[in-house]
Amino acid sequence: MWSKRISILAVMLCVTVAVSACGADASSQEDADSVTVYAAASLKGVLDAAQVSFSEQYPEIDLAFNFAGTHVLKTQLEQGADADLFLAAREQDVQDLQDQNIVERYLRLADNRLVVVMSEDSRDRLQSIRDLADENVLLVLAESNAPVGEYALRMIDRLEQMEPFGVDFKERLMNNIVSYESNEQHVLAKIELGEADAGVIYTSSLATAALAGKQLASLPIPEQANVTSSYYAASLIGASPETAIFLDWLQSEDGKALLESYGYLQEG
Amino acid sequence: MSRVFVNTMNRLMLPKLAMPLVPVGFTILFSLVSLLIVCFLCMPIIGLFTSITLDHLYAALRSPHLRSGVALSLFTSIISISLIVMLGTPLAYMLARSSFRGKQLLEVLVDLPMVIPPSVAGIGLILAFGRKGLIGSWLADYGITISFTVVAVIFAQVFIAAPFYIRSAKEGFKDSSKEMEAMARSLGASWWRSFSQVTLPLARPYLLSGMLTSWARALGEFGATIMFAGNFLGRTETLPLAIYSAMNEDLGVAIVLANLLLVMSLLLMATVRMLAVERR
Repeated sequence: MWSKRISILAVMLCVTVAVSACGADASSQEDADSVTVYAAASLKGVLDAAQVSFSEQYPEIDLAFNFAGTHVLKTQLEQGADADLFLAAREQDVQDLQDQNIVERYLRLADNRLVVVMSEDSRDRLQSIRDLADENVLLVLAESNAPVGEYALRMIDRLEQMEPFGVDFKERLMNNIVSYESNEQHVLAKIELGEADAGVIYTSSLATAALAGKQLASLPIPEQANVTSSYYAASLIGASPETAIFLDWLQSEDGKALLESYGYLQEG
Repeated sequence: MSRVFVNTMNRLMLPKLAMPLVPVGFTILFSLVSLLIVCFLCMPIIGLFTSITLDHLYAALRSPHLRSGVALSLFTSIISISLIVMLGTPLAYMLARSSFRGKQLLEVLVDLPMVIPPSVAGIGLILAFGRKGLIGSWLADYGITISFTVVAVIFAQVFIAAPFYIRSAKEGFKDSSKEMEAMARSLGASWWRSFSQVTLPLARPYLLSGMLTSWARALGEFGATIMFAGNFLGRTETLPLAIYSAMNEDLGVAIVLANLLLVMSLLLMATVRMLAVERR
């Protein structure tokens, strides 16, 4: 009785292992033609689309992505993560990695700006940036060592210097911050869930959400206070030869058009 | 002949390890396999202990993550464990003593938080107690918000850690205490008296070890907390969240904080072990 059950279990286990081994095998065969991309979380939407278009032109090249905050990915790469390409939202991180002989060379890929995104319920209450400092407004930012968090704090510093906002604006605004999220996508999630009233994200993420059919309410940030951020594409030492193909494709007309349609700016 | 050989081998080679009735070949095989898994289980802990340096310690002592993290972790986990004991003890008693329709289902539900991923718990908590949640939206009408506050941290901890206490307490009430309680009652003691003077003292080791295990789990709670309570230094950043934040700022600080949590967990589990001895 028991031995029968055990043998059935054993057979099931063997089948599971065999099936998963086949799966693993299939992917490891393509290992020679694959590019592992560590990308800033704010590039998720456009890179998912890029993967589709790219694999139509180059079906033999496999793209694998790891999305997280740039500062998180930097730590992972410092700890020896095996990747081919690093798409970062801050130049400093790429330079640090180059100093440590992890990044071979890098180039500027695209630019981005900041915007304040609001939850559905706060649309009426928050009419301008000034209202963000009102009482009982819940704000979320990305943590200050994430690029978008650093840029958001820089933006708040600039707002403080501006005429209509007044002396205690920054203090009141900072008091409204309830969480520092690990990356920009988590900020967006907290707003979409309605848990927080407003958050600072990239304009591209607003465009990406719109492409996905989500019309999010937003507040424009005054031009003088806004911060332009740049994305950098860094090929890592020991990257697979296909990495250059993907990188070239990203800078091709197709790639540029795609980035533009997702709300990223081209340098100019 | 062969048995004599095996017995001698057993006695000569592995005097302490030898298991009665088990042939020496299997003893050796089992020992080697066990050694492998023990090494595997110990390696991360050894890694944590050995990679700590004085520089890391200085950095950690200067880091705000350590001070506010320790204070907040102790504060929230002590409140959580008190809530768990107050609310969980009656349930454990009910589950141990009565049998009713749907009890099996209830037991599965109570145990569920032990196995579901904390991220699932995090989303569940948001959808129940968040500002748009089932109960949260109703609370929000009265101006009460739970998410992003220390209350959310406690909610997450209670949700994840409560089953560990309830399970152990249930065992305690099930054990010998049942007959002793009946005996006390038959001798004329009121129910409350027999419960507080007989049942509770008998179940004490179970209650205590359940409390400590549950406390250790509450101290270590990460996933549900970061999703439901967010991450804010000094307000919702408990030690596990502080490790996560420090990881991308200063690895040394993260290592020190990790060692701190490790030692706390070790102490708690060692106490549980000693209580288990007392129980026998």
